Amino acid sequence: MTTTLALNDVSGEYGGVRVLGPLSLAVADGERVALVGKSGAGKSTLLSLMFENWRPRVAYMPQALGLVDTLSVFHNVFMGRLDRHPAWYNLVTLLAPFRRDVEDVERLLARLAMEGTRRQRAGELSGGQRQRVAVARVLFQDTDVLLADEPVSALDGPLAEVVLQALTDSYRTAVLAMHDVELALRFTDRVVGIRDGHIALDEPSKRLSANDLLPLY
Amino acid sequence: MAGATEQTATMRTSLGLVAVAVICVFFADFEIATGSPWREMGRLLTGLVTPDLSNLGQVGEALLRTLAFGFTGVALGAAAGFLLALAFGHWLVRILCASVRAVHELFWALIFLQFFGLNPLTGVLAIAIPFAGIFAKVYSEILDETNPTPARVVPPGAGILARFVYARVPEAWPHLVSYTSYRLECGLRSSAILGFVGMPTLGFYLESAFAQGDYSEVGALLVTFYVLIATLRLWARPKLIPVYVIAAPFLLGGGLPIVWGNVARFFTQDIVPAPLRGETADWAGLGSWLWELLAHQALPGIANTIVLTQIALVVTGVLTLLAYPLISRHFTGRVGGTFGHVVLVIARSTPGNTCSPISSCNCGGHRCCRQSSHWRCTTAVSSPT
Repeated sequence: MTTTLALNDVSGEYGGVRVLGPLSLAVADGERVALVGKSGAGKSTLLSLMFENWRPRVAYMPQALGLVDTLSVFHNVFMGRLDRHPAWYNLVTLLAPFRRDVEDVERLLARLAMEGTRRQRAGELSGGQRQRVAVARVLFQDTDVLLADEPVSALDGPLAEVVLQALTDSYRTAVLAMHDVELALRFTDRVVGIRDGHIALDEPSKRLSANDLLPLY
Repeated sequence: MAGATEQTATMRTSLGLVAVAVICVFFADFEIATGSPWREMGRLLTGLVTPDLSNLGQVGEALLRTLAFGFTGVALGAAAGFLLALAFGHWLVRILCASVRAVHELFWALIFLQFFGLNPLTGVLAIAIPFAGIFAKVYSEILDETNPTPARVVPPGAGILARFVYARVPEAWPHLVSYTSYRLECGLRSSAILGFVGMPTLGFYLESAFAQGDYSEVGALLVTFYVLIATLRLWARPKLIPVYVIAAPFLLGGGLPIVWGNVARFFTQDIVPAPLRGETADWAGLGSWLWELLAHQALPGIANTIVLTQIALVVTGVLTLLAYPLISRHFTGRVGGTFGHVVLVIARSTPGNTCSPISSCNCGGHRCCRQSSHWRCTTAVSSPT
């Protein structure tokens, strides 16, 4: 698929106050974009707008993660594919999962260093584990485009890289909001800097260094 | 600042309610029904401390039927209430639920007695219908309060059912369970009360024991009921609930068969306004008949209900303020807490009407029940969330 994803002249409001835009932005197929900027700049609002506009094709991992605390890790991950099965299949899975799905989910969890947590409830996990469950869900969902809001904010060094590698391996096209500038430059090929609700910078990653992004903060 | 204004507003409302209640006392229709309330109370207390457990078969049957009606009614009400909760956004459903829950279980029983007679169906529906209205309201509130993010990120192609059972129900589940188990306790109390209008539950046996002046029998019935309610948590385990619910309908007892003629008569005669009954309908008389009814029965009744409710509300509030230290960890140790638990179980498990033979406020009983159970609803909803 080579269609371009685009936002034309969109703006975002929060409580009646405009916090973003109006701005236009296009993401080409196969492009991995980092959204950077200080907190409150409008990154989450922009991602949310992308999600609303590009809906059927994207997997969305919001900052709030959207986990169901009372469900097991397996079921939280399985939710990424609720649209692939008939209702009866999903209902049966809620009570007794099919082996094929269990194996798929188990493999994903192992890749994210989450072995053996399949039966735990999401509410019992630590912040870093919860974040990886949400990552596993978007990996399991496996659509065209990934939108992720701070997908590794609760993970430290090596684990953050493992998770970003997994995400970028599975999704050729992705928009990732990130506050870690180094990681953003390494795992994406384009950086969009947001300041005060507007695009302040839009450059290929390889032409930028961490210092170039400092004015955004 | 906001806190301070809120506090004064709360204070103003509270004082306003107290003032209204004080004014209401002067208008209330109090009347001492029995010659010597204190002697009656003394007899009841004596009965409570000398329960006569020789007739265990009868006590057992009373409790079994009370449980059977309670479980069947609450289970039906919960199932119907859950379905209604899904459509609670529609104003018609909201009005339907509000009107069925505005009528006390006892009044529903009196209505159903007219056409189903002393059939178990009367008791079951009398509990299930108002409970369905209450469940629908509270369930829909609980479901509305769940975190909306999971449902938002579920793939758009997922069916409405899958989205609902994965993203909404599991999160609401603990609250749904805790509210339902609380209502089960209310249902058992209602079931006990239905005995006063002839269902084979606790109230039936209580009334006949009262009538015979057998206060030790009354004591035995009440004490076993207290034990049943106080130990609810021990025997009503989540895994056993399905067993109870399946068994309950078979333990309702036979009762009397439904006379379908009565059902027909109820709809063709009993509920037809008096002037319209018979061969020639007197439409002209309908207006004055309605006016008579309104002026001499309905309006004074409503006025009395409101007056007594206001008083009961404030009395309940005062008693609650006095009683909550009994159960609050801030005030009591282990022993005190257990004692408090016992006192509160007795207070909330004694069927409302038990008090009427000994109480001086003769007409308030049933009407106050309705109001206080609404109060209980609101507190129960706000506590788990």
